Amino acid sequence: MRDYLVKRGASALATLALAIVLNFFLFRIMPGDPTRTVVGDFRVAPEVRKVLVHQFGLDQPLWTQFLLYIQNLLVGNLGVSFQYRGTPVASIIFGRRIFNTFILMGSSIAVALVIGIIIGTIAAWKRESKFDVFTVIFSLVTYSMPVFWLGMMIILVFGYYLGSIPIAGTITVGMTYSNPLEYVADYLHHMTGPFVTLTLSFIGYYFLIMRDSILDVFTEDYMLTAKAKGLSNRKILFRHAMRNATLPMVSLVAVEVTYLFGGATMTETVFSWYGIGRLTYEAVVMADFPVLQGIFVVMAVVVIAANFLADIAYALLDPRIRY
Amino acid sequence: MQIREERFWVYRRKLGDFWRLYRRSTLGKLGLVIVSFFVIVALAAPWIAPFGPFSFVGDPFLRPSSTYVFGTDQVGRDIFSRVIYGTRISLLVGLLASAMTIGLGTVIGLVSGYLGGWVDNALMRITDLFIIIPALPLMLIMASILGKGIMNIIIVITVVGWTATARMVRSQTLSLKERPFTEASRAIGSTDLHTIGRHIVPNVFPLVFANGMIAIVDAILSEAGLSFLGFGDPSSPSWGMVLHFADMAGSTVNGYWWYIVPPGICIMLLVMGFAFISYSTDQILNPRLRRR
Amino acid sequence: MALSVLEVRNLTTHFFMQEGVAQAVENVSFILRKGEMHGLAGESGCGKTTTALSIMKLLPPGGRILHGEIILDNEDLVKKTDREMNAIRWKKISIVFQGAMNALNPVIRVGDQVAEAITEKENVSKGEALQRARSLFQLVGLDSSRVADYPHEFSGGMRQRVMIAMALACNPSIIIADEPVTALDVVVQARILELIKELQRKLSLSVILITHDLSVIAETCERVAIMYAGRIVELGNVKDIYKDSWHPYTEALITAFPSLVGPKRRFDSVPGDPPDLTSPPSGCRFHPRCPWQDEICRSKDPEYRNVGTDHYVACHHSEKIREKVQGERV
Repeated sequence: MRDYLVKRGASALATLALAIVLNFFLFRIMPGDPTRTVVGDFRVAPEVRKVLVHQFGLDQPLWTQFLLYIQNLLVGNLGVSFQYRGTPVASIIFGRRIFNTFILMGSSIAVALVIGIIIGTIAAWKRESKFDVFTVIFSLVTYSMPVFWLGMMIILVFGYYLGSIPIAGTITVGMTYSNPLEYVADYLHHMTGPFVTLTLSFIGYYFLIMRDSILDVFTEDYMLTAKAKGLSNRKILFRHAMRNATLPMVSLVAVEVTYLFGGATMTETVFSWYGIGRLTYEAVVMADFPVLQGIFVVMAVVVIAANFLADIAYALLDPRIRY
Repeated sequence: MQIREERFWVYRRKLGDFWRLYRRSTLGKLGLVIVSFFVIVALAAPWIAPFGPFSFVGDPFLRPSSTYVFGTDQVGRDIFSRVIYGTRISLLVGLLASAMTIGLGTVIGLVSGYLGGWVDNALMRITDLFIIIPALPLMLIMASILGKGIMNIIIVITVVGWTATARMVRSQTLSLKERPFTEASRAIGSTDLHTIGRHIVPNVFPLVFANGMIAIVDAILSEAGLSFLGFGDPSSPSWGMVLHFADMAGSTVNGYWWYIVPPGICIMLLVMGFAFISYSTDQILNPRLRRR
Repeated sequence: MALSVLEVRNLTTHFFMQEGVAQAVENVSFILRKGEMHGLAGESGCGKTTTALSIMKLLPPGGRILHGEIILDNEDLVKKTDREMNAIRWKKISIVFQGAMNALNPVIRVGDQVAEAITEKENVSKGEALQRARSLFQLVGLDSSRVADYPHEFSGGMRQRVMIAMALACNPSIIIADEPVTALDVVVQARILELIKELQRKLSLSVILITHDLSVIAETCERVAIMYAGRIVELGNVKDIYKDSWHPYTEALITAFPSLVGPKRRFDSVPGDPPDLTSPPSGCRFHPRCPWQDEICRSKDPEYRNVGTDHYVACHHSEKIREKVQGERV
């Protein structure tokens, strides 16, 4: 077990190192004048531009810039935003934004997973029944819907026509709250739209995977043994089948975790949810390279860490792996 | 000569068996019908659409009527015609991008799995990197670098999407490499290329095909997403682009439902068509999922 | 004469599949007596396992018992619902499957799997059940500390012992052993068979032993039913059948094993393949492979008749065949 972990850990670190290096060069090779973002499209005197270039350290040789970059990374300095005139990237990412994204993504992924796993199990058990057919079709339909369109439709129906949900933002602008609970309520009210959109978009996928996994498990011999022992159907399903079928889901969840921090760019944009996803979109549009670079580094760390944790979890859950 | 002929009949029979089983699946048939419908619409666009996709034909924001089936957009173009022409873009991008994605992924997977050693290590590291970089941001960045245009979108989708196929093909190749027939092939002195082509590829193919349907789905949805966010080709009436303009015009807050609903439903239906085909194919090709 | 604990009468099970209806088991009848080891022998696909699954009502989807009776403790199992069967399964009859490779859940400790059977049927605590699992392990020759291990940590033979221990967990009176030693090498085979025989004696078990290997039957069983294409072609005491088989198929099976003693003689195997059960041959199902077949064999199903003490055969020409064979048999 220890060897396995050490090997995986070393691999993870190597990938991380490579990612950091790549990250640096990726943004250096991109065409476009970074100073454009800072000064806009005004004609500025070349001297002013030179000052700005120097301020952002863009006139140094590449090698020096790289060393500076690594140095800064190690102390957690992700640079300074072009767009937000000197605000440290780290504070932009690790402030309200990441919190909002985390709450939104965390809740929708969690809910979608739980529902997907349970319904997937039941559908597999009742294969070819009306329930199964209905849930499969439902999943395929929601899977086929473009996320942003689903968001738009929800805004149209529930925001415009029914007026039951707000159409933008995380909280109502300019409102004062008499107690924290009111604030939470308003926040959650605003979260309803994006939450429902995201959950619906995830659920189909998780459902189909779980159902496939359980059907696979059904062909195994130990299922017959369990039935021969006279166990009730429910016990067989949840104690034997599910335990084995959820193993492949673990690797899946690791991949999904990256969304936790990357945010769902589309959904956040459609609902103007103040999170990392929307930040990414804004940064691309405004060519705010430091922010993008910062986001990429954070994402790389999160993805690699998540995969590593998933490897550990899988090893813990599947006794066969330890040997 | 005779062996080649025999092999042809074996493939013929396998295809026949597959088709026979496929025919029984309602979802599979439905999927084919839907996809065929859109293909026909795409091909017959100039004859079906009442107006051109860029012609200004009436007042802006007209509600649906018998003249303008889906109403008009903010500059007075007929949405119905735009949606019809949009079918071409979506299908084109979907099929081309997925073909390239699968092609690239398969080649890399085969080479990596078959050759092994440092080649495999290097390729897998690169693959890992592409997996780590978040897809949408990478797409957005590439799109902003490359600029607008359909071909650019296709390139972007390919660059981001090849990893899944590569990984899958690689693991399949690795397991096939251990099988006796591979050893046998090399024992009789076949070149590597021959072994790969004759023995490994046919066994990898069903997996790749099933994956291909998913790739088409991803490609169509990616193009729609990119266009919606404004990184598509403004001069093309792709469904994603129409929705982008719909959003620009504030359709959600102003209630211009005829602008939002049709293009979205089209995306959904086309994707569903391919998803149904993929699901049915999967149920057949994966023997463990078949009913006992 | 010992009491009968299980009576199977005219059991008929068919499989309804996309390709057609497989007549897997047809009019199978036999009696299992207390403390007896009854063999069920035949080629793969002849219906032995289907018979076992029918008795336990564990048929896969598509399988259906069309008619017949399975009498256990004066109750007909065929008529019982699944829920009623759950109470009977493992408590009165349990089953040991072949190739316990995947028959045990790979992610649950073996001790827990054995204990599960106990806590399910009886009102005991988990701890007590585990204790019983430990003593069961000792009974089958395994170290009791191994209850904490996972299936993949055992060799084939030891896994089979685990399966046997698990089958004994609720003190059933009947055990069905479906090819219990087929997947094992010869040395381990012998040990496991010894174990089964010993347990049978110690615990007064009644066992149905299913196998394609007649030598296994010869070593362990008192009675045997030879099955072919879903039917019993011969049924009787093992001694009688070995000395004196009445059916050409039985004869062929027995002579297929060369004897280590006696003069060298020609090694006969049974030519041909088992029939497709979705469209079985007309008349006697064995006729295409039988060297004695004639017109009546091709058209008429042979009657299942009594030819001695508890000895039954289904063949049109048994008497003729016996005469010829008795001359040739060493």
